[in-house]
Amino acid sequence: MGQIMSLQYNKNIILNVLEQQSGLGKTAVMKIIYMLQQVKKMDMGYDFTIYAYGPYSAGVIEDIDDLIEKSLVDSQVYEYANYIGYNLNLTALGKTKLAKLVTNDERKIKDILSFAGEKQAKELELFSTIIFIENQYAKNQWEREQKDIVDKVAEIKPHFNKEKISTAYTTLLENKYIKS
Amino acid sequence: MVSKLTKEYKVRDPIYGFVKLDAQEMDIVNSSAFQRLRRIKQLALTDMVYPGASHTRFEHSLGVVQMATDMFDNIVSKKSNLERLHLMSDGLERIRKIIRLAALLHDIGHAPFSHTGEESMPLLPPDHPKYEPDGSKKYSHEDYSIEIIKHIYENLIENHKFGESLGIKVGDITALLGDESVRPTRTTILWKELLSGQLDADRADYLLRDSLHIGVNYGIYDRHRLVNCVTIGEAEESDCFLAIEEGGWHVAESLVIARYQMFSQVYFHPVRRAFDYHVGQATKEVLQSFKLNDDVFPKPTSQQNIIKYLEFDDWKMCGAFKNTKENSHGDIILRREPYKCKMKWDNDLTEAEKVAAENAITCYGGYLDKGAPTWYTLDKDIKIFSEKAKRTYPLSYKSKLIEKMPGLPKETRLYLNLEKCGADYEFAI
Repeated sequence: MGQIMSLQYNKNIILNVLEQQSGLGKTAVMKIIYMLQQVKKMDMGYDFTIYAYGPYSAGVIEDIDDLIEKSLVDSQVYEYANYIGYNLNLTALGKTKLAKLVTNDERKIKDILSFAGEKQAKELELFSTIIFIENQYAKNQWEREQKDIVDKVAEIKPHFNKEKISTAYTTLLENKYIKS
Repeated sequence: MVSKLTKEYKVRDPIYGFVKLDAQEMDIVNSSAFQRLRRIKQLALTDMVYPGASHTRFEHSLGVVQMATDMFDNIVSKKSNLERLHLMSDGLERIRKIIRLAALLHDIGHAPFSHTGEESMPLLPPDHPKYEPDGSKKYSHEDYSIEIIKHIYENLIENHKFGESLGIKVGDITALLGDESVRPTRTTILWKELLSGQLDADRADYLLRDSLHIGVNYGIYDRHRLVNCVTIGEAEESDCFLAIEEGGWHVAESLVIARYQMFSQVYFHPVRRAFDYHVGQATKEVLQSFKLNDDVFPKPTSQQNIIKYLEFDDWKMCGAFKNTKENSHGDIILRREPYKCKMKWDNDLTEAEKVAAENAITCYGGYLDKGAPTWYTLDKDIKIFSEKAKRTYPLSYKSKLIEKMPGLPKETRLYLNLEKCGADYEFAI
């Protein structure tokens, strides 16, 4: 039953995220799930890889789309400056299907949402990219002074200047989302 | 006279007519590790249902080279894309060659019977970049591809006379295949989408190739139109990604429909899925009989282990199936008497259904098939880019069909051993 249980768990996490913060964009949910898995070590088993728009997992999108298909989540078109996206809300049916989380999981979601819930998709892209790069450097035991990470993020995302990346890095450090 | 080094080799292919290879690529193709792909069928035992499905990872790998090259050449033929790419430091010729080599070698690490064999891959060690804290994650064929490229192809990639002027390193190739031990660059982040992303050449090739060999029309889409419409979108200055031109969104729509139909009609066919199960179990039986550590394939952690791993192919496994005991999974495959699907559920099972299914399995032998395999995703919201408006749209915004399209079927199926339960058995709670 492992696979089924694991899928239900992941979808319930997504529902709980939307219950606590309605109207999140699909991209924002992707980055929040990434942070829950990577920073808060929630065992969701998604495979994230980094693309131009930050950490991405096709599995997260599949699960969100499944929740939309089952009418547990409603998606509304939202026009951003240079792209069209979708904002997500829990439906009345979704609220009835929501399973209560263990306290620990609930706290982790609260923590991440209080950090990320009000941020723009672009900011979340930057924060999640820094976390991804920092984690990759740590796993490979590469030098990872702040300058190493900031330089690498600036190289792969030149539309963010180094000052902005440094500030974001410091914020993550202060929140203990990355380790010095 | 054309020198051997500058000669262009042309290999006949049923999709592209010809796949063109240079001397370095031909030397890779002629290596024993690459020739092994001739002995790994693309779709495992799908030929038990569709007899034409006997094509291999060998021809698919060549096809992905051609598809990825066609897409790349078309992208760089557009002035707007070239302007964006000028921001990148690497030369186009070098990037093109890296993409071709990565495409050629992307499946070099497949286990016997392709994805089905991955069940018998070992667990990742804690020092692996993809290790997860619960320790349950296994090596994937991509991990094997990366290690095989590093251990077996370093010399052919870095020191071959044909390509050495480009200064390509093994890490340039493995980075496009998801190697997290290589520092990412803007170039690798962009171009790896061409090998594993929403618009990758891998899926673009296998949909057409599988359809052709199986003899169905579900996976067909307009390849020429797709190649012509792939472009580079730009969210902000220098923030590039692969997309489809706004005018070509219909081809993106047909690609997604092709993916959906191939999955629901072919890859998720109930008898085909039964053979996936038997192959997985038979592989475990064979590995046990070979007395390998933990009854899994050798870890790709040393040259010696990789050489041992590369000895495994479909031929070796099928030979071993012949020597397994009566009523083993290998024997079931040889007799073509798979377990039969006796019940299916569209939704998750209730507790009562779970108990009844488990009782039936204990009594007769069988298993629960729990929905879509993890290697197949629909990935339907392909990015559509408007050059004029400098705006990106998800495909589902343009296409009402895609907006309303359901996800992949996720039914749970109960399979039982007919020899024990009898053909007339009916599952009941």
